[in-house]
Amino acid sequence: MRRPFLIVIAFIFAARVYAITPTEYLLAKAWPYEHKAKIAEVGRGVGIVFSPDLSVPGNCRFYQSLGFACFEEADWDSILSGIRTYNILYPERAIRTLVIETHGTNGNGLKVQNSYDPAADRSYISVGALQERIEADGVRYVVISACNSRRLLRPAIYRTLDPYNGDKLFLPATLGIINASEDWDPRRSRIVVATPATSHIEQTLAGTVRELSPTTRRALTVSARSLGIEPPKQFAVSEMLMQMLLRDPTLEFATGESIDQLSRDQTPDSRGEKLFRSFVKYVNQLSWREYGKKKAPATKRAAKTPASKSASVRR
Amino acid sequence: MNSTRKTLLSLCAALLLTFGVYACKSTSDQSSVNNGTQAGSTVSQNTTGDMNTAGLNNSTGAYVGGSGVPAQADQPTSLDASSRVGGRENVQAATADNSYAGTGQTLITSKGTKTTTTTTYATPTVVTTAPVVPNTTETITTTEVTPPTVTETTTTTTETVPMVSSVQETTTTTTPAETTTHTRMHKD
Repeated sequence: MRRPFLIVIAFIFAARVYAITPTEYLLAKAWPYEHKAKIAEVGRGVGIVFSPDLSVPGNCRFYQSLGFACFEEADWDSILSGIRTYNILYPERAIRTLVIETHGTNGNGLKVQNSYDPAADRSYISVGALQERIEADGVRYVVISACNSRRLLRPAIYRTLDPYNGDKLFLPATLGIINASEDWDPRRSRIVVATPATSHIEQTLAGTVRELSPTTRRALTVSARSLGIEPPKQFAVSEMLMQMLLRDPTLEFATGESIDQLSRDQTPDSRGEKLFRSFVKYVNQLSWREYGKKKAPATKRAAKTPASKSASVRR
Repeated sequence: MNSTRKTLLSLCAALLLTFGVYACKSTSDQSSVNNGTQAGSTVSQNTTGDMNTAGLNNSTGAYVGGSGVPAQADQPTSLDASSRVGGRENVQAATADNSYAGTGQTLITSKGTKTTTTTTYATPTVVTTAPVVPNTTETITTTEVTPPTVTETTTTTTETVPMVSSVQETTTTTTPAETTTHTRMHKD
């Protein structure tokens, strides 16, 4: 009588240990947490795509110094080519997870643009086309941090965008629209597309490297010079990216579930500031763990690694 | 005896299973990162956002007069201490100089409006009237204290530019309001 009871209790305990949320599971797969990560390895295996108008000058250099692959273009075709080139050149740190920091155009298409000028460089891509194009490059997870991103998964526009949707944010596609091919079947795709569970307008904060500790700045300088790029001076970071990096328990992802409702909700400013402070503290802790107890890292120009050969690719 | 042994064995097995699973979980699980804590750097914030520099006492007048006798080289003001260990030294204190005179400016700035108040001040003078001695032997002495000579000139100027510190400001510094908000970009 006692033995089955104890076994049941043991299984209950075991089940509780393994009770993790789908978001935690997804994050653990898409962006494995490395407790002893070095500054230059924080973003290993993760690529970030920025719309130029959601970035700051030299933004990609900040992320490259942290180990990310970074792309900032107004042309989706160039971005996709860049991802392919990167994974060919650096198979040891190939992109497996892509974080999309672009506009969602109210859920009508992933948009990258230089500005809101109607004549500015601008292009769109459907989620299906993104899956189709990057699956062959080895990407397995796509995290969309865009406005009303769950609306992008609507079946009507999943493969082919509607350029006549009537939304005033859908400005002229001066550099084209990329749709999925006719014979592409989303059910056969191995890529997991994740979006925030609650649809709202995502926000990005612009910060400066001066806000980081001197140790972190020196670590970033060393990392940047080892890649053959100039040390960054400022950066733009989205609330969602900070939540992912910090493993924020309030972050909640949804996969493959679309909604129709358009949301105008915005997160309060205080939330972004709080996340930013935590982000700065996290990066400072990483650099302190790596360099704090040692002598400050030399800022001499380090020998170029193979990664520096394609600095222009990873701009 | 045998059943007790089996029960103990099963209990141990269950505990081993639990702790084993938990140990596997702790090695593979991810540590959470502190969220919501303050960053290392602290930036002072001004809740009103207004720069207030009231109370800048910029005294430009030179103190005149003074009745204190300066110490001379051959006559030290402090006398020798007694031969007893721990004995106090006898100090001959100079007479206090309480007279003053000069001008001063007070700069009050609030939300772009700068008010400068110039004050001229001096030590109150004591006027002693001559004793009135008519035909009696009684002597009457009247002492009258006149009010200090204070002349105030108030100048108010309105500026649209941020406050510029007065040239005479030497003692008080103003800390501008500093906020930690960052530029935000919306992904619409």
